[in-house]
Amino acid sequence: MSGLAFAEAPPPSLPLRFLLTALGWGVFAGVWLAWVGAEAMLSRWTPATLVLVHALVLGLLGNAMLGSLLQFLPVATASPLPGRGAMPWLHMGFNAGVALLLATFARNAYALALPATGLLAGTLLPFAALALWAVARGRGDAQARRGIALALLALAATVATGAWLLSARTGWLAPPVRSFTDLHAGLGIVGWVVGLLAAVAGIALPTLQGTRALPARAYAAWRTLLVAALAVLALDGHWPLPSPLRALPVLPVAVFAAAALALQMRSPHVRNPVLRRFWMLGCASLLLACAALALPEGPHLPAPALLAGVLALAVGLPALVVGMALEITAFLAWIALRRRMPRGTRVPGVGRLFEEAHKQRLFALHAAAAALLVLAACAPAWARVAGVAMALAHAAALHGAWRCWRGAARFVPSPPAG
Amino acid sequence: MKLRLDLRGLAAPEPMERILDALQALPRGQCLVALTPMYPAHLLPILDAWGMAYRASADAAGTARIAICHADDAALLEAHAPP
Repeated sequence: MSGLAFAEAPPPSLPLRFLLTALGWGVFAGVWLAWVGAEAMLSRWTPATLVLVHALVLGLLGNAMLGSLLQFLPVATASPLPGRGAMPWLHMGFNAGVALLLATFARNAYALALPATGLLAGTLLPFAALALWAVARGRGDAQARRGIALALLALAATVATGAWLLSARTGWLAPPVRSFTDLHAGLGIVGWVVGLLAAVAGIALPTLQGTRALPARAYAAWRTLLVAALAVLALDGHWPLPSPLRALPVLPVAVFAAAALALQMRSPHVRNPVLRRFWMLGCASLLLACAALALPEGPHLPAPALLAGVLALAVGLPALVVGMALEITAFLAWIALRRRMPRGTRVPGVGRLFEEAHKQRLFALHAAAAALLVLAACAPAWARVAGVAMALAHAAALHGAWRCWRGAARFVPSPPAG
Repeated sequence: MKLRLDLRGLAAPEPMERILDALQALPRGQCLVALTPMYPAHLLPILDAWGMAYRASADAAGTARIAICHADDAALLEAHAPP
């Protein structure tokens, strides 16, 4: 008999399918880079680069964000996502939309742009609306709820600006000013991805990594900074802005990464050491990405925007979400096992379902791929090798996560002794 | 009678594991009250499957309080209704 039946969490298989698909897109991104090679590392505007970037931000990060929200919303807001029954369809529609969008970019197949836009907008906007509803009717951590709501609004704006840009690329609408692309990227990466990561980190860093909690006032100030950064991106190109102000959009990312690193390094306890390493790699890469934007341009230097893009989109943010995905997968497998086994049955703990030593090997693969990706940004001849390493690292993570889930699904309790 | 656990300082999923372990030995007529670092949303379906009655509430700081007893003792939860 339930006191709050509406607050139940979704079945663990639901967020899991998003997380596994995210890792699958990580494999695709690596295979794509290995196939196209240096072409993807020469400019942010080539079709090869657009495919790689959107495979990472929509396929890998997008699926991981949606799956994590499904799992995290009931905990953070004491209110699950409404319309849970539609989530498997949303998962299929969203990923079909990502595939069509990548085909649109890769082949200049503009006939696919309309269904791609329809599928992406038709899945992401309802998801954002349902999640906002859950946040609005929920209770629990007020800071996390505000942060999630802000990230969801940024997601909706990212979809709207992306649909406009795609319409311009296919010739249906007049091209907007060039800075509109920066607004789209800023809304998606800074507003949606980093905004959501910061909201989740406020709870996940203390509970999963044993850090001190971030003061509520500091997090509220960071959200104000985030809104100001997005406002600057919206005004840029339409309004003459002084140079220092135009650097503002980088600041929320740098402050988030520096704060997370500082909290980890001053942590009174060390919990989940591999997750901690993934997050340290991710935060350090984000800080380097912010610093890379200040580098001078030169004939023998990598383009600052390209190096920053690799550090943030191919290394930093994937390290944060892959580390979390591995941790969440083990937790979901344990929950599914606990739900299946009757009271009184002894089941293996979360740590036994996904051994820390196995996760450490996966981290080593991701760290090696990260080093090769940065090398490829500086010397594009290494792009194919970096792509192979990236594909292998994500394939190993996908295999590890699937093996953990199958291990729990096949668990048979030992018969009582005697 | 009630058994009280303060699990707010523990890493996930240890609070859930401790609560489920404590429930293995919870006698009839008693209630387990646990303070957790987050709202225990993922615990609730397991409690349903185990035939337990519960009442959970979250506060604005993000921590939560859950009272659990056997379904036959659901009347004990009246004392734990949120204000």
